[in-house]
Amino acid sequence: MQNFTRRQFLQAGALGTGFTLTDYFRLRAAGQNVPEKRSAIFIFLEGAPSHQDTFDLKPDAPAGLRGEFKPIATNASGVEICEHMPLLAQRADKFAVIRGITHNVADHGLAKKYLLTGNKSSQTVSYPEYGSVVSHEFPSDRYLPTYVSIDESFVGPGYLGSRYSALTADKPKHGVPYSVRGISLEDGLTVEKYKSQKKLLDDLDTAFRGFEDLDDQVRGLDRFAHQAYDIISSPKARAAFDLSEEKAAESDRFGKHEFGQSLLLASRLIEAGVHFVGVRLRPAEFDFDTHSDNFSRLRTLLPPFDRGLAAMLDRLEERRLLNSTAIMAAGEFGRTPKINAQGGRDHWARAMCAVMAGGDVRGGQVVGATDGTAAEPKSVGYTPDDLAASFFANIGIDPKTEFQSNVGRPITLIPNGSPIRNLI
Amino acid sequence: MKQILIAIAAWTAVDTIRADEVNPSASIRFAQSSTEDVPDFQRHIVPLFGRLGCNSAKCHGSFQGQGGFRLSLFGFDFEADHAALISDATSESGSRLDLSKPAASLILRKSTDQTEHEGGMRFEVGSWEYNLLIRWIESGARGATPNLKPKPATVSAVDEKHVQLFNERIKPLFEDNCFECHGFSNRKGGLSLANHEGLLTGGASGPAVVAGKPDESLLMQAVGYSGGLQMPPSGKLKSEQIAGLREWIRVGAPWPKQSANAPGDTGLVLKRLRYVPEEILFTKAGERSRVKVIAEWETGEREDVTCLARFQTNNDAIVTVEREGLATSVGDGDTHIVVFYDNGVAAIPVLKRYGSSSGVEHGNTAGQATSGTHPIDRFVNAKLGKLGLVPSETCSDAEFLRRVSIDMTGTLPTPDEVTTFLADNSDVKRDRQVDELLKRSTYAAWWANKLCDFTGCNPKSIASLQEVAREEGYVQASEWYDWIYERVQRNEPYDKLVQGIMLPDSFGLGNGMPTFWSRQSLKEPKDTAMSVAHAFLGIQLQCAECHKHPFDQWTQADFNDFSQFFDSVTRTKKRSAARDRKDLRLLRSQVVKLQAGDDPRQPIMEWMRDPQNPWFARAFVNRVWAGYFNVGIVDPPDQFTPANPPSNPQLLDWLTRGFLDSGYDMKWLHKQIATSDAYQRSWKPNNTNRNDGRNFSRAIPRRIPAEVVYDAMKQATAATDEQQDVRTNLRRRASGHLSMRMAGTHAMKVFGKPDRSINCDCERVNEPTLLQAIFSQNDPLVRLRIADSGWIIEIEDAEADGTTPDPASLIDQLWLRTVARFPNTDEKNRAREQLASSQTTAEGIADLMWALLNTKEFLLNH
Repeated sequence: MQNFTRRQFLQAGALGTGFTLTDYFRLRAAGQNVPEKRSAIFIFLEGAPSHQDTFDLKPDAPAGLRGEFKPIATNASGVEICEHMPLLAQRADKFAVIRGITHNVADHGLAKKYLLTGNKSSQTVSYPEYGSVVSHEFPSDRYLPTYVSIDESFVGPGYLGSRYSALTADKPKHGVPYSVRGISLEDGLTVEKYKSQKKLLDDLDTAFRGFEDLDDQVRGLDRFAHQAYDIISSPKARAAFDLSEEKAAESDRFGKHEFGQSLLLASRLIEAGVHFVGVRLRPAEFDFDTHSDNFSRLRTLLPPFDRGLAAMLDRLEERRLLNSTAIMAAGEFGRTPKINAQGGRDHWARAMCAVMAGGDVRGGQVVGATDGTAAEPKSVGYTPDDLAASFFANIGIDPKTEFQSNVGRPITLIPNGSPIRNLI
Repeated sequence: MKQILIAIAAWTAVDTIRADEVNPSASIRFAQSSTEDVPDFQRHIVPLFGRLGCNSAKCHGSFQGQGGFRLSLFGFDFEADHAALISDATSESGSRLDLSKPAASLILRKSTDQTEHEGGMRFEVGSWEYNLLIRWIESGARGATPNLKPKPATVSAVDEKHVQLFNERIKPLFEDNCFECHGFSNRKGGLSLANHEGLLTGGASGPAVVAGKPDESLLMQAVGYSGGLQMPPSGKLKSEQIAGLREWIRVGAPWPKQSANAPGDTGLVLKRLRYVPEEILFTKAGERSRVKVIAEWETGEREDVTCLARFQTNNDAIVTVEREGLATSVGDGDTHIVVFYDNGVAAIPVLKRYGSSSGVEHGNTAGQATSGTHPIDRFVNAKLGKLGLVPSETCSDAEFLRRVSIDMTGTLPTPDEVTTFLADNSDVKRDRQVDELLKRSTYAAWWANKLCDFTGCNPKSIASLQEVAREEGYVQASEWYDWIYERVQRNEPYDKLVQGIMLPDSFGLGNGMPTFWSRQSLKEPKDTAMSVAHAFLGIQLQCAECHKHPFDQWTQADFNDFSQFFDSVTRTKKRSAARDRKDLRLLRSQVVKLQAGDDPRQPIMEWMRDPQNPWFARAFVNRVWAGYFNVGIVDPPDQFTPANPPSNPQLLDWLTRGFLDSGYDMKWLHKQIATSDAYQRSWKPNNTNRNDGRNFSRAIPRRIPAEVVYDAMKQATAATDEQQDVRTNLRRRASGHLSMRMAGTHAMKVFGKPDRSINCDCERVNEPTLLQAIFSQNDPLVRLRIADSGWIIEIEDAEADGTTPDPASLIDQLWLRTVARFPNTDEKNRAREQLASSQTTAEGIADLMWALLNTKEFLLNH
């Protein structure tokens, strides 16, 4: 039976998506309760930012634990965040801060797998990242990829299968012409030339003509070749990636840093109709893994993050897309309450924080709390599983959805977590 | 060994049993509420829960239970299930079982929906299910018959009081305060407190604990904040916690084994599951047939358990099956109905001839179909005849050459090779080609690459977790590959090759391959056990880690015993010696008596290579077959379970027997397969076999694997004098040494090269995706391959010199380089047209090359 369900699953899914737009409208027309699905952006703060120096400040912690930064008031009463994020402070009504998230995996590799999938990593199953799940659940667009990852995604589509992989786009840099691997036409290749090559291909690709539906593999190759052509040749996809269409002032609003430019690109892609954008914020010089010089590094890292995210929230709201876009930002764990001899903070998984916005998220609030030194959640705390369940719920995907995996048994999307109360 | 063969064989064998020797079905015996019959917990109650779905993962079988009531998943932990039933319900008023007023028991009120039940009504009041449960409660609601046989000797016993101390005070303390940095995956300072070994071995500063001597133990100094090392860094532990640790170390730091009692070990053992009929042959859709299932216990008792068994179809486009074994024909083809009862699994073949519904019988194919001369074809054709399938015609010589070159050597043939092969008029040229290919280094390279897939050769898991050690991972992964390559190249017997991996010390220093054992991913004995079972036996044990395997006979007890073999291996990573005397059951075949100092892998190796072993040779034979036919005879090839039987058992038996008789000769196996008619069929279907994907009546077109795509594009565009080097220099090939370097790169990920990080053949993905199409059409790597093509530059240079080569021969070359055949007239004309409209010949050739690399004919092996 595992044998068959797998094959059956392949047959259902080989044409790009298990669930087509037609299915969707058919179910809606039949009065079935198909949840409204949203687009989503996941901002991965790679390296694990110090929670107590960003969104969970402890100004009264004892010396040696207390950070250098001061909390500032925001436009939401009772919500305080770090002084180095003044722009976000003016927009705190648009997002919710989640504190007291806790787990016990303090290794980057394994914790990334956990935070990027909502499941602890396993020897026997590889779990799909959020975008791959969305890609599986959304009908695909003829001219656009469903899921784009800005900078290579870390985990991949896992048990859902490689057709739910992200299209990877490099990080854009301010003021530098931008191109996307596989999508942009490079080295003087024109659309006309590409079209004539495709015509030639169609004329020569005759060996299986009339047998396109023979087997999954033949059918898949045929369909995807046409879809790839549609995407590469269409103005729609190229325009979505073309940052040069942005006015200088708009580009500057997001900041002259790759953080902001990545978030600008994420906004453009969502506006064009891409369903999921993963953004991996991982600057080349140093990331959020601040084992030394925690405070000076954060003074460099926080302002571009603040500017970029604030601009993205503004832009999506201006374009009336904030309600239809679920946004989450998180790292892989928090950092030690104790400041080490190098002025850094080390890995600490027992407490971390995250930010959510868009969709049904009730902004202007803090959910959850940690103790006086930000070492432990007060009471039970939340897990990365709960975080993932909340994100999926906000996207409109039931976290208890059961998928037929490639390992021969059904797997529940987020078996161990449930949406965080009062967040959504 | 013998026992297991008999047991498996027995589950598929059927003879007619006289009705008076069989206890009637529970549905008859409990039809009346007045019955005096007494049901048994293991024989009736737990199977009934299974059939009703109570212990499924969605309901009470979930690890969190449901509504405060938890049953073991797929029901084989009788002790826990009984305990759950007799304990008080917390969420509701009333007891789950009310012995004084049985009808008031919550389990009856819930399942009949008299009290709100999320799972709804499972049966009605007064039904046989109801009567059966009420009779069980009335008669005392007893649990399963206990196993009174003495348990095999286990590892050094730990005092009950100390077990309590550890479980209640020490373990939670470690988990809460230390695991953050010294847990399963995190070993700060090299120290792990996840198990006893880690504690005693310690980290960079030495052993954490000296058993019996708290004052000499580093751990006590650290938690006392008395020296330089102060742990945990977040603050000193409470004094009673420190006192607990001191006491625990004083009594010797005992660390009890987690699974002392294996669930499922009862006094009642199912001997076999019989079924009638032996095979279901349908002739038209909608036709019905009823399966009867009889359980035979070791006590000699027999019972009709049809009403208690679970049934499942392996393909609902062919047959559906309802409760009580009612099967209904849906469509043409062959599959199995699978029956589950207790820990027995049986698969009943179901078959309906192709074309029998439409009335378009395709003549009598039997005579033609059984006419093959090759032994493989006799078995394949017999099955095709039975199914009414006419095999496709023999493929063309060009198709054969390209197909066998890819499957056997992971390499496209060169234009010269194609030309020579097509011009050869010999009757035996295909056989000769197979012999010749098997001598090539590319054969050894491609199958070494496959063996690296099966055995999990993953640079990242070899390297330690630190990024700086990555390079070491590549070096060792390459050594792993080279070690296998050399042995495949000189055709060392397969069992000997595996012995070199299983027992790296047995060949003298340097001749074994120890890296299989030293992988970081093998943290616990169970990881090693699963890896060995997957790599060499083609079985997936992991389900049995937490619950009874749903599709196999494996219980947690089997899993735990098998895992224990690897205890000492995982501890030392390389050399291996049992610490204590112990008796362990080897996957239900035999009990192995280990003495202290024995290498526990030795008996496993002996057991595996024994010709009677049910999996070892078969798993390899089947994987090689799958490498040629796209599907295994057992498919997926790593799911050898009674619920997933071979599509052609006689064929698998014959090949396995032959492979054993040849002395595990791998080349013998490859040759048999590649020289069969079955392998040499066209992919083009006829009127009968379009929908056949599992009986080898035609070739199944499949996308060429990631490494082959990469190497083939390189070869197709190479300069004339480079072609040979591109094909044979393994340092330059993705199926050669680059295999390890390229793992995880964009191109390999897009085309589904496996990471080799989980125990599943499904990790290699050959299905087409959008990203692949984007890659082959427009990735800079492909565009550059063409722009920098040595061959096209030759043409450019010739044009610059004013000596443009003959277009006709260039066009031939294009087709030969990519799809390994000469172009037909239409293709030639279209190519000429393209050249004529291009500014230069080189540009036209480049466009044609791009187009050909994107044809289905290029991307598929067909």
